[in-house]
Amino acid sequence: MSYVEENKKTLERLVEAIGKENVIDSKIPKDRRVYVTIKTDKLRDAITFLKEKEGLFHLATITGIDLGEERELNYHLNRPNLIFTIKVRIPGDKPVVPSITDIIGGAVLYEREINDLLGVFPEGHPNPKRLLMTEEWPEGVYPLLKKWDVKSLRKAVDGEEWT
Amino acid sequence: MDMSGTEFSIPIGPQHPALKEPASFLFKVDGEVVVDVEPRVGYNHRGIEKAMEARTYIQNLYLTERVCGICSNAHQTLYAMNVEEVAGIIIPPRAKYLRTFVHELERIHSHLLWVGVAAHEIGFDTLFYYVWRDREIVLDILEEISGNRVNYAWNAIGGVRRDIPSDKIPKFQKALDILAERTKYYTKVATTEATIANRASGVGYCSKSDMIRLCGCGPHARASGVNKDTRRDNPYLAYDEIPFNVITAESGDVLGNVVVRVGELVESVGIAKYVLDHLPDGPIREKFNPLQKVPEGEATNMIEAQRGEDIHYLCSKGDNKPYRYKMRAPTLANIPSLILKLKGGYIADIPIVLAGIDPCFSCTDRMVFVDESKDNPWDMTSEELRKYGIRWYSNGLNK
Repeated sequence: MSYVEENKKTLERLVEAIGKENVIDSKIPKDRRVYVTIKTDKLRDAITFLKEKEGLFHLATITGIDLGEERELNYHLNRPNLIFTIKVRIPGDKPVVPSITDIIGGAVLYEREINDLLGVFPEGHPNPKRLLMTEEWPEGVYPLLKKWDVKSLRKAVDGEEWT
Repeated sequence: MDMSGTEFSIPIGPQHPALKEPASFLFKVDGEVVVDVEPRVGYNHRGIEKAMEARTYIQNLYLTERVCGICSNAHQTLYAMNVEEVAGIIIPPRAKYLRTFVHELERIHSHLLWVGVAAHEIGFDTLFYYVWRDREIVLDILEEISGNRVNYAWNAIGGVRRDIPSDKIPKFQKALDILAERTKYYTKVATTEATIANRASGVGYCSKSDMIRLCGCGPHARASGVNKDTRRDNPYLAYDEIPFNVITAESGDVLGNVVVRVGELVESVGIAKYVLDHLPDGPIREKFNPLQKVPEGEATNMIEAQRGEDIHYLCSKGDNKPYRYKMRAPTLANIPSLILKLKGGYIADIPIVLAGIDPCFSCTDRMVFVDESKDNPWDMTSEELRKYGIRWYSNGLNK
């Protein structure tokens, strides 16, 4: 079986494993890429399934995007001939996501990075300390949120007007 | 005074005047043995991802090149690939090959740099001088085709900026022949020389299963026997048309790192020679207007940079600026497994194990040893630590 069909099958088996009602959207834009949007409470099940059954045990990184009302997290898993991206949407007023560090150990730093830059807290992370931002960086200022620009960040961090 | 069982904390870093990418590690040591390591990165956090959201696609082409000094071309190539995917641009075959050529030359110069640094840390300075002399050959080629020794500004969105004139190709072939011979010699040195084997064997061990669990990548993972290389597994540019081998080692220690990197040098020289022999004719780029809007969409691409897989993600909302651009460089992916490698090792091994993943923060210039019980700090420079490591081993203190 070619990898193109194998990748399609992987997506089908994932949808079957977590239930069709928990899958919001999916697409295969090109041969080696699969994107699937699922409900947040099925994230850990989906990651476990892909790791155990489909050989997607390597997490390349986690991308966080501010979509206004919601924040989107993209978990980029990969195996030969496939980059598999799982997307979850998190409400902006309650930005908490279940940690997957006990399933994939390599997620440790990526979850801390997301917490630093986008303010999405990984619940159950063994050491959710600050990773990138300095100690004097103010609490609650998450620079990758769209509401911050250079001027307002400068004001919030240094208390100075941008000139 | 009985000091056994007393743990000391040693902060290492973050500043280093010679190497970029400062990072700090807090080592807990019991005598000579490292018990625990707490990493702290972010000293070089410049907010590039945020800055990219405020710049056009062409401006970002030059910003991505400045993410890193050594992997500059890797980041820029990956950025161009992402934008081209969303914009629907298919680059000409000649551009693909030209990009591959510079990508491999960059790998050769980076690996040679690393082998030199590793040799220096081991205390084998003869090899360091040899390797860095030969690194000039590849830097001369890069300078001749791009005008720069590093930061080549080689890519444009839609292709490459310059062509390689055909009358220069025999000259480059000749230079690569010399490199091929030299890299084969280094393979022999790395696998047979007792100076390297005695110092690096068994130092900084990480098993294959741990490496997979912690999602390590690049030569660092291949040294632990993880057979994974983006060039072969998820081919990009011209790699699906070029024959090459993926080098792995089973030992999982610093020696494995040396063996993998010198082996990759031989392969990379082979790829560069193949590219010059099979360079297709035709145009070198497609047109991309500097203010052009890119349609709504997203792209995820990975390439094998010198230090491991590099992944970028682009989200476009139909503007002439990216809505979100994410980059993850290989060093971040390798920190969890690096920590595992440091635990249980000796203080004297810290520089060489840190150097094992990457020369970026191989060692830090100033170290403060803090005796928590006596409030008695003292300083050690990286040079002193290096000499301390060599002396410690030559006196057989580890026995």
